[in-house]
Formats: sequence, structure tokens, C-alpha cells
Amino acid sequence: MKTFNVANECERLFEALSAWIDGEATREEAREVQAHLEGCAACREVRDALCSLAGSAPTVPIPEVPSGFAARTRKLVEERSERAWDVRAKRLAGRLGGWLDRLIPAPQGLAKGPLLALQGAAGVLDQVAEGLEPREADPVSALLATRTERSGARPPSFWFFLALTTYGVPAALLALMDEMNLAAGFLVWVGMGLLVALPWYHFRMDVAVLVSMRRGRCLEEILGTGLEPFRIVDTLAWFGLRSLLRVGLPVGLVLLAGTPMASHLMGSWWAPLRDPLQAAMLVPVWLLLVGVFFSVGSYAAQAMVLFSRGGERPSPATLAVALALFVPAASLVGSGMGVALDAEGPGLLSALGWTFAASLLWVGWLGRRLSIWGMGHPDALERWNRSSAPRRNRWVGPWNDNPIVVREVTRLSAAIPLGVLGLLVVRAIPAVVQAQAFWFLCVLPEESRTLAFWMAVAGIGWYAWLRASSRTSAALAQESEGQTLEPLIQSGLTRQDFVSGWIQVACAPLYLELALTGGLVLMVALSFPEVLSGDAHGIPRTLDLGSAFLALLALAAMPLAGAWTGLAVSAVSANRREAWGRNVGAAFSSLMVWIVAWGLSTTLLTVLTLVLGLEFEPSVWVALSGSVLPAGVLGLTVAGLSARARTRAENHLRTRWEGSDPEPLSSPSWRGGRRRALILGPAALASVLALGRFLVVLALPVADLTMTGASPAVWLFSSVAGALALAVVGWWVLRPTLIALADHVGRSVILSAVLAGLFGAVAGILLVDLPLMVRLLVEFGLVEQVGGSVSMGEVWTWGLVLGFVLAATLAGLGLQNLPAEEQEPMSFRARLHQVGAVPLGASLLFLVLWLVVGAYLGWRTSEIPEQDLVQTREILARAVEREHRRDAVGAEQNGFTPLEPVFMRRALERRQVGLSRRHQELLDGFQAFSWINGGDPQEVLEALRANPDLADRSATRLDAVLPALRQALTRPEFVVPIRWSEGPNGAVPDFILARTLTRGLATRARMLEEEGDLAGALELHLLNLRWSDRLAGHGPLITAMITHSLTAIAEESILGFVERNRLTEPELLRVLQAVEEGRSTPQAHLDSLDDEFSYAMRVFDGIRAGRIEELNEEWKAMLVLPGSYWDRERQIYTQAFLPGRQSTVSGALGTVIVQEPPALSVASALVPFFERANYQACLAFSRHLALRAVCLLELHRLRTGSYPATLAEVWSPLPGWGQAQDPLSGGDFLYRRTARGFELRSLVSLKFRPFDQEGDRTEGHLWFPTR
Amino acid sequence: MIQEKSTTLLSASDQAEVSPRRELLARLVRRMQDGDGQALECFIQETQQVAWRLAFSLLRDRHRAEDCLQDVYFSVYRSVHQLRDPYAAQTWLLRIVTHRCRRLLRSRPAASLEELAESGVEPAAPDPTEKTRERLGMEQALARLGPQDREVLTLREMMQLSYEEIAQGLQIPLGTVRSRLAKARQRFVQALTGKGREGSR
Repeated sequence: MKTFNVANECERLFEALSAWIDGEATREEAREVQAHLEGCAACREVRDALCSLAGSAPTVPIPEVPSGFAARTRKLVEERSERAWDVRAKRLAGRLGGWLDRLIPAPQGLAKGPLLALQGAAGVLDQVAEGLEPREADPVSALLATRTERSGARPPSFWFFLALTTYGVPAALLALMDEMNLAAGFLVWVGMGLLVALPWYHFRMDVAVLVSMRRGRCLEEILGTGLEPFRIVDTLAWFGLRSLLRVGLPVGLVLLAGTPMASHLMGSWWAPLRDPLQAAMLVPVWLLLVGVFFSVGSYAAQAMVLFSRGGERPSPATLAVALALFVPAASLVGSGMGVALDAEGPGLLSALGWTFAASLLWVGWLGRRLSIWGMGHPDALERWNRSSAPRRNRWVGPWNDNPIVVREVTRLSAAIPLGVLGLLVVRAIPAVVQAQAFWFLCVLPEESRTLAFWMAVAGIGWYAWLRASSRTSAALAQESEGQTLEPLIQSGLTRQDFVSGWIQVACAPLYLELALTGGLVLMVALSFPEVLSGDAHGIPRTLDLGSAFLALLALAAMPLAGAWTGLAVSAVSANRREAWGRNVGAAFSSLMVWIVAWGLSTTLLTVLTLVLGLEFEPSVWVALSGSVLPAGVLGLTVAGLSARARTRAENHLRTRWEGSDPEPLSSPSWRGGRRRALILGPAALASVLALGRFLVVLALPVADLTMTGASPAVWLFSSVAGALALAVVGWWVLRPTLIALADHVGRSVILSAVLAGLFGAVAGILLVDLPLMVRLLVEFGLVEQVGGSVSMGEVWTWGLVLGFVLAATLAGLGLQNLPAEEQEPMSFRARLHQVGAVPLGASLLFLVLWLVVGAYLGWRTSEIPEQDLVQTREILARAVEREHRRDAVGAEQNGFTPLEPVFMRRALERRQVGLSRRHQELLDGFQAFSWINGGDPQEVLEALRANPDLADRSATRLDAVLPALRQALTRPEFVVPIRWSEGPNGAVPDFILARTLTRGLATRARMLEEEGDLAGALELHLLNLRWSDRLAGHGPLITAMITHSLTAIAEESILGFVERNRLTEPELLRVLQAVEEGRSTPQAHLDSLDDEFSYAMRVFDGIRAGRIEELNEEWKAMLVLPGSYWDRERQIYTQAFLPGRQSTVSGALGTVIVQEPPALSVASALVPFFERANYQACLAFSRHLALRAVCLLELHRLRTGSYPATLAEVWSPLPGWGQAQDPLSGGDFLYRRTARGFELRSLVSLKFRPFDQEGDRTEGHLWFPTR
Repeated sequence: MIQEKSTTLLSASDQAEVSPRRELLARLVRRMQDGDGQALECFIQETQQVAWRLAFSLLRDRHRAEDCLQDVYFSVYRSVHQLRDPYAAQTWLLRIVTHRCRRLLRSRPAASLEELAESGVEPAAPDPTEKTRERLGMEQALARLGPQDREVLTLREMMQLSYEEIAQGLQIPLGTVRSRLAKARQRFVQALTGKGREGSR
């Protein structure tokens, strides 16, 4: 016992002995050591050994510093700086900036203008002269320039190229894709956004520069130069204004590019923008207005900075001044724009604008006075001296107690209120743009829209994850490098303070951004309900309650996961560079782990399906692949790896942050078998629970339960079981991280474990089972279901999010194979190996497996009935062949060249080129044509009479076209393809042009008829009929509708002609012949329809056979169509064709009721849709046949002297003519002989609901010429 | 203990008194931040002695030390504007020196004493003939220690650096220098005697 004590004493005193030998022990220690040495021989031996070591060790004298080292090094450093790429890049940027500066004719003059106006109006002319005199080599300006560069302010070239690349390139791409509307809208949105955002941003930068000057004590130096305070103040304001002008130029360029195009878009409600020139004039006006705003803002910034004493709360007076400065300043810009834009004269907007302008001037003067007073205040120096000591920023509110947060937030934005305001505005406009993008998403077809939405959510989440992780790790590594971590640790922070502080630091800005974005999207959605409901555009609603929750939670969870990863990464990184590298590795690794989980689950599920021969509901697939299996797999994987990860993280933290060997971080009870039990127990539990849930879900189809039919108990059980499983897994995933990161500031393992467990439980419930829970709420009637159900895409995304959260923690720890001493940045390959070798290998394996099995499954499911396949292939082959044949006929051969004027306008609109004089003439002529495009023929005629000039031009153009048209029609191969392309306002240029010609011919015929030239009129009518027969739509249904609507115009006009005039027998026979040329019977008519109708019929059959998805795929492969068109096409088939079918075709949990589609002919199914697209097309068929019937009736009258009693009596001069069948009703035309003539009626009796269910579509359409 | 550690670790600017030398360095840093080349030269002159001592101690090679320091000052010049606290300039500089030296040592370890002799620096051993056997044993014992122990022992026993210099050079707290040195010595004695303090008990 005694021996032990003595040894223990020696042990205890050894460190003191060591220090004593080196003469570094304290006085008490020295006394103690000496006393001990006298009584302990062993220690004397040790002392002697150590002394002999010191004596005998070869000491190395340190040589002197080489002479001239300093001068040599300076020269070398300067030479190397010349060569360094970043220095060169800065210089290049500066040169570009200078070039841009020169583009502004007189920046100083421009800057002076608003200042002069400001001060002159405020009545402080006494100081104008001195205050605005710019001097060469002003020390303040020089200092400002340096400071700006140091603080990271970007040169104008940066903004220019930023605007160019960020906004110009996407806009150019959109334009190249022939989406001019989108391109213009994009540019305008962005331009307007920048107009508001950039001044704010620069204002914030101004504040940052000022603060950094104060911190660096540069303000003292400025004061020491003996400059007058007002001069300093004005120089600062001028500086801000100048930087604004530099920024304003690129912004103006963006706006200039967007504005002329915007005039197309906004012409209806934004009057001044109709004229591009006037719109362009807005840019300088804006610059001027913002110049005033900015100079006032700069004074405000100075006042704020000078009066906020060292980061303390500014006095209420200062705050009041600041507020008073900002509100009117912002209003000025808005109302000033209102003044500039208001073409109607001074209205309310302009009155408000000038009111605010006046108040702004006054406030600007006040700000300047305050700044000057602050600058010249006798206590100023003293205050700045005091402010150099780090203090807490009370503006951050509840975070005040955590120095990390305080410092980070302070660093984040130079002044919190201004920073937040700036952030608000900088983020607000992009958010609106994002909302716009979401709206664009709404135009996509339903499936791709859902997917796109969730891809967007996942993308934003991924970005948030990356940003949070890199931010956390970089900041922590920086602290570590700066040796400020130790004081932080020693400052008595509790562990939760420390960890939560870092998470707040990483997540708070992101959450702010996300909240702003969400708020703005919500605002936009509320302002334009149709964006979400989509009803206005016939777009079904996609965002339902569950989706909204899920999106929100996904966005909330991702930054958190990223912050955890970042903390873990920095814990094992030696420096920032390495932390960055590890983040990259973590990103890769997390992706890989997700692929592993997803691949594994899908593979297993597929195998199960094949082995058991089961048929799963989509919802079961979703539930299984999306949640259960990934959870189980990841749980096991992560639980196994977390033990090693924790140990290594602890070791690293211990050696790096504490620098010594303190008592072990984890108590011995955590070691050995007990630890293994603790790891394996929950892992087993997790897997059992996951398996249980898996079985429950598996049992659903086996027990013949659908998801909707399952009892709430089953739902509840599966949800709770899954949540528990994930809770345990999450606890084990996150616990090591928490322990590792928190252990250096405290010892409460239980608390961190509880935190991690809670997080895991919440994450488990939210991530896996929220879709199900939402559904449950709906089932119980607690929540009203607004939209569709939870879809495949959502749960995929949840698989994604789950994978990210879990994998992020795992991969962020990145500790599978960490060497003990690692500070050098590794090669990419090494890093990948180190961080992600296991997941990478496994994921590749599973990816291959997944692909193989997926391919097999795809092969299995593609075994559709051979007959259908052959039929479908034949149809496709025929369609493709026709397409090729049509394309093979060149423009020359087709007779297009003589018809060039007809298509001129289309080409112009597509290419957006300038007009030559000849083209302009042609265009003028065709503008006349377009003008007669709409309206009743009688009205057009009257209008033409009222406007002889226009009538002349129209006639000239038509005369020019007619010979060419006649010649072209002699060629059998002459076919005019109506191609789909989006013109302005969603029009189809081809269609407009063709309609122009058809209408023109009909109008001319009507004119001839009125002049009494019946033969000429009939000639033109027949020409029109033949012309309209040659129109051929490219693409499915919609172009068929278009071409038939044109035929309808021609037929309607000739019908009117026959109705109004008594024709001779040869004339009637000619009409009949022209009619029969194209179509002899209803069935023949159908046969002769273009590919579209033929194809549509097959599609219809396909739908009835339940093969719509396959057909969709075939379509997509064959046709390249814009999304809006595609969406419309889908509606025709899924809704007009299947009126009884509920809209959720692919919803995971929706009840799908398939009704047998009404057994009507394809034509009768299509007709109601025709009417929606074009009223005239609705009666195309019946008109066609009615024309024939009328001609025959007339012939009958000519031969017998009276109309027949029934249609059966009609003599037919042509073969194949039986009873006049009405293709719409499928029955006879209703015919009645009257006293004055006859009445022919086509009754459209539709037995199904069309897609707009409110429409009144069951009434018949009547057509009756009477004599 | 914790109190002592925390005061040792407080960054320079937090200490109530600011020495004239620190004040001078801070001024130079601020001038360098404004791009003053002359300030750079002054800064080098002010700090080269301590930086050189550390670099040479770690690298044990005159030429490598000089190259290293030139790299270091280039880094300093290029990233000086990132330095938030000009009063921490010296600590910052020494930290960069240590990083740079460690990186260099990873590519090529420091010269042994023999190489040092060849390079022109004479190790001042007390008496080669008498102590040869003992010295060989020490070299072997030293080689048996871990890199961390060897580093701290070398800096203290051979380079005769003070505890504070070692703390700055290795970026560890003063208390850690003490404990690490003690532990290294303990292990050194164990390696030297084959049984160490257990035998002495």
C-alpha cells in the first residue's frame, strides 16, 4: 500500500519535475519537487537521467538569419504576386471595371446631380461648394477603394458577367428553343428584380465597408488627416453612389435587352412599354431615381454606423432616423417608377411619389447633418477605441448568450437590421422568379410536373444541405486555425449551447431564405389562385396538402442534416481546405448511400414480386421502396459503422482541441461487450421493426386489402412501427456525432442521446410516414383533401430525403478509415476511397443489380399481346412513312416559292429578324389579310367597304397569291403542312396564315357574289374548298382540328352561297364533285383523315384496352411537342374519352374507378373537343355531308320540280351514296319539307360529359337552310 | 488549471495590455492590408528572427528554412487582409510557419544530426569520444518514440526553445507543452533503460 502511494506521488510530481528541470516550474511546484527529491531515491535517479540527457544531448545552435533576408523576401514576394493568377485576375477585373467606368460619361457629374438636388432642396447650400468638390488623390477615397477591395466588393465587370451568364445564357437558351415568350418574361422578371435588389445589396456593402473601417481603426486615421467632417461624409456618400452607377450599367443592359421583348408580353396592361424606345428611356430615369435613393441611403448608413457604439444597440433616435430614411426612400423608387410609367398623367401614384420625394430630401439632409455631427463629435475617437474590443451584439436577440452565434451573425451582416432588410429584398425577387418558375412547371403535363416539382424541392434541399455543411465545416475549421476555438471551449459554454450555436449559424440564414421564398411563393399563390388551382388554364391541381407539408419538411430537414455533416467533417479536418475536400467526399458518399438504399429496396422488392408472382398496387410499391427497406438497410449499416466512427471522432477531438490526454471522453462502461450490446440491440430492434412494417404492408395485397380499405389500426401500426424503427436508427446515427462534438464542452452523454433520439423520432415520423399520416387524417375526416393523393414522386423524394439525412450523418463523419494524423489535403482518389469506398462499392453493386433486375422486369412487363403490338407498329410505321413522304416534298417542288408571301410572316416571327423593304410590303399586305381574319363575313365586307385603302391592299395581295395558288393546286403532291409552333400569345402562325388565305378567298367570293358574278364566286368557292383540302396537320389531334376548322370555313361559305343562289345543274354537279373529291362517305371521310385521326382512333382503342401508358410513351418518342400542347392532348384522351374515370390515374392511394368508355365512334368523341378549340370545327363533318345533301336536294328539285318528301327519295348521281347519314349522331339527318323549302337538321346528341363538366353540351346543333 | 489554460489561450488582442511590439506589428499589418510593400519589408524584419528560429528548429536545414520562410511571407502578404485581429499577427505568422514546415517534413523528413553536421552546422556535443556509446543509445531511444514525443523533445533538448516558443510553434497550449514534454521524457527514459520508471520503483 505504501509502495503504491509512493509511486503515485512520483507519478503525480513527474510533470512538475520535468518542468523544474527546464526551469519552467512555478515556485510552489519547485518547493514540492525539491522536498520530494530529498526523500525519494527513485526520483533522484530519474532526475539524474534527465539531466544527463539534457547535458549529453547534442544541442544544435540556431544560425543567424541570412543577411538581407527581409529585402530579398520582399522582392520575391512582390515578384510572385505579379505572377499569381488571383492577383492577375484581380487586375484584369480592375481593367474591365475601368472600361465599364468609361462607358459612364461622367460618373462624378451624375453623382453630383442628385446630391445637388438633395442639398439644394434642403436648404443647405452653404456647404455644397466644399462638400462636393472632388479632389484628386483624396486620402479617404483611396482608403475606401482599398477597403472595398479588401471587403470583397465586386468590380462592375463581375456584375456584368454575372448578369450575362446567370440571366443572359438561360434567356438565350430559351430563345433558341423558340420560346420567345418565356425568354422575354425571364429577362424582364430578372431585370426588374435586379433593379430593386442590387441597390439594396450595395447599400449593405456600403455599411459593411464602413464597419470594417471602424473595426480596423481606419476611421481614426481619417480623422487624424485633418479633413473636415462634412467632406468625409460626402466622400463616403459619393463613393456609394459611384459604386451604384457601376452596378447600374449592367443591370440597365439586362433591362434593355428584356424590355423590347417585354412590350410584346405586357403591352396590354403596361402602356409605356408598348414602345420599346420609351421603355428603354426608363433605364436612365431609374438610374437617376435610385441615385437619389442611394445617396440618401449612404448618409443613413453613416449615421447608423457612427452612432452604433461598438456594436451596441443604437439609440432610439438613430433607429427612428434610420426607419424614417428607409421607408420613404423605398417608396420613392416605387412611386417614381409609377410617375415614369403613368402615361395617363399625374395620378395618385405620382402624387404619392412627389410627396415622398420631398420628405426624402428632408430626411437625406437630416441624415447628412447627423453624420457630420457624429463625425466631428469630440467623443468619436474615444468611442471607436472602445468599440475595437469585441462585444456582444444585442440585436441578435435570444441568441445573445451564445458567443458563436453572436459573432457569426455579426460577421454575416455588418449591421443586422440592414442586413436582414437587404437579405429580404435580395431574396425576395429571386423568390418571385422562382414562383414564376413553379408556374411554368404548372404548364407541364401532370406527371412530369409532379416529378419536376419534387425534383425542384430535392434540388433546393440538396443545395441547402451542401451549403449548410460547407458553411459549418469551414467556419469551425477557421476557428480552429485561428486558435479561437479553445477560448470558446473554455468560456463555459454548455454543450447544447455550443452545438446548437453552430447549427444556428449554419441553418439560420438558410432558413431565413427558405422562409422568405416560401412566403413569397405563398403570396404569389394567394394573389393568383389559378397558379395553384390551375383551373383557369384547365390545369388540374397538383399541390395538395400532403405535398405542401412534405415540401416544407424536406426543406427544413436538409439544412439541419447539412449542418450536422459539416460539424462532423470539421471535427476531423485539420484545416479549411481539408474540410472542403471532406465535404465533397461527404456529398458523394451521401449520394452513393442513397443509391444503395434505393437500389437495394427496389431490387429486393422486384425479386419478391417475381418470386411470389404478386401484383402490387402502386401504393405498396411506393411504401416499400420509399421508406421501409431503406430505413432498415440504412439502420443496420449505419449502426454498425457508427461505433467506429464515434471512437475515431473522439480521438481526433481529443488530440486536436484539447491538445493533451485528458480522462477518456467516454466512460469505461461504454466499452467492450456492453458497447457491442448497445450497438447490436437497437440495430436488431430497428431491423425487427422495419421487417414488421414491411410484412404489414406486404400483407395488404395478400389479404386482399387495398390501401384505402385498410383499417386505421393497420395504418397506425405501420406508421408507429416505422417511426420507432427510425427513431432507434436515428438515435444511433446521430448519437456519436453529438457525443463527439459535445464532449469537449461537457460530459452529459444522456442529454445528447436524448436530443438525438428525439431528432431521430421526429425525423422518422416525418420522413417516412407523413404521407401515410396525412392520408389517415383525410380518412378520419380531420383534414379535407384538397387535391389528389400522395403520389409516387413524393415518396421518391422522401426516400431521397431520408437517404440524405441518414447518409449525410454517416458520410459526414466519414470515419470508416481515418488515419490518426491527417492534416494534409488528400488527393481526390484518396479522399473518395477514405470517405466513400464502402458505400461506393456497395452502391455500384446494387446499382448493377438494380439495373439488371429492372431490365428484366421491363422486359417482362413489355409482353403485351402480340396482336396489339403488331397493330400499333403498323400504325406507327404508316404514320412515320407519311411523315417522311411529306417532308420529302421540298418547298420548291411543293409550290411554296410562289406562295412565299403567305408564309413570310411565319418565317419572320420565327427568326425575329429585321425586315427588308420588300418583306415589309408583303407584311403590310398580309396585315390586311390578318385584319379580315376574324369576324362575320358580312361585317368584314362592310368594314372593307368603309376602308377602301385596306380593301385595295388586301385585294392586291390576294390577286398576287391567286395565280400561284391555282398553279400549285394542279400538282397532286401539293400539301401545306400546318406545323405546330408557338407564336405570340400562343397562336400557331401556320394556322393563322392558312386561315387568312381561306378567309380571304371566302370574302372575295362573297364580294363577287354581291357584284353579281356568280360564276366567278363559285370558282373561288371551289378553289377554297380544294385549298382547304390540301391542308395537312403535322402532329396529333390539335392540328387536325385546325385543318378541319379551315375546311369548315370554306364549306360554310359555299353552303351559304348555295343557300342564297339558285344554281344550275352543272354548277351543282361541280360542287358535288369537289365535295366528293376529298370524301365520299362518312367512313371514307374518316379514312381520308390525316394520320392524326387514324392514330387517335387507335389511341382510343388503346385506352379501352388499358394501354394508355404505353401509347403515351410511343407518342413521346414520336412527337416533339411543347409541354402545354402535350398537356392538352392528354386531357383529350384521359378526360374527354374517359369521363367516368377519376382523375388520379397514377395516384398512389387514390381510388381508381375505371368505367367502360361510351361506345361511340371516334369522330363523335372528338367533336365536342373540337368545339372547345374552334366552334366552326364542331360542325365540320355535318357541314360537309349537309353540303352534299343540299346539292342533291337541289338537283332533285331541278329534275322533279320539288323537294322530296324524305331523304330516301333523293336521286344520287354518284356511286356509294345511300342515305345521308349524320356522322355526329350516327343516325339520319332530320329532314322536313316545308312550304317554302326544306329544313335539314343535324342533331348532336352527346351521351357523355365533356371534360369541362359545367358546360352545357347535350343540346343539339341545328343547321337548316330554308327556301 | 483550467483558469490558467484559458488565460494562456486568450488571443493577443483580448489581453488588457498591448505590448509596443504587438502594437507595431498591428500597425504594419494594417498598412500591409492597404497594399504597402514597404510595410511588408518592415514586418519581415520585425518577425524574421522568431520565425527563422522556429523554421530552422523544425526543418534543421538552412536552405529549406529560407525557402520555407519565403513561402510563408508570400502567403502572409496574399492573405493578410483575411486577418481579422492585427494584434494576433505574430501568432498567426508562427502558425503558418508550423503548417508549412510540417508539410515540408511530410515530403522529406528533417535532417538527422549527421546530415546536419555535413550541412555545416556543427552539433555541439560535449565530448564525442567519451559519450559515443551513450549518444548512440539516445539516438536509438529517440527513434523509438512517437513523432509527437520526438518533436517536442527535439525542440526542447536540442533546439533549447522555451516552453512558450514550443507552444507557439506546435500550436498547443502552454500546459500541454508541459504535460507532453513530461510524457515524452517518461517514455524516453523507458526506452533508454528498457524498463523505465517501473524499474526505479
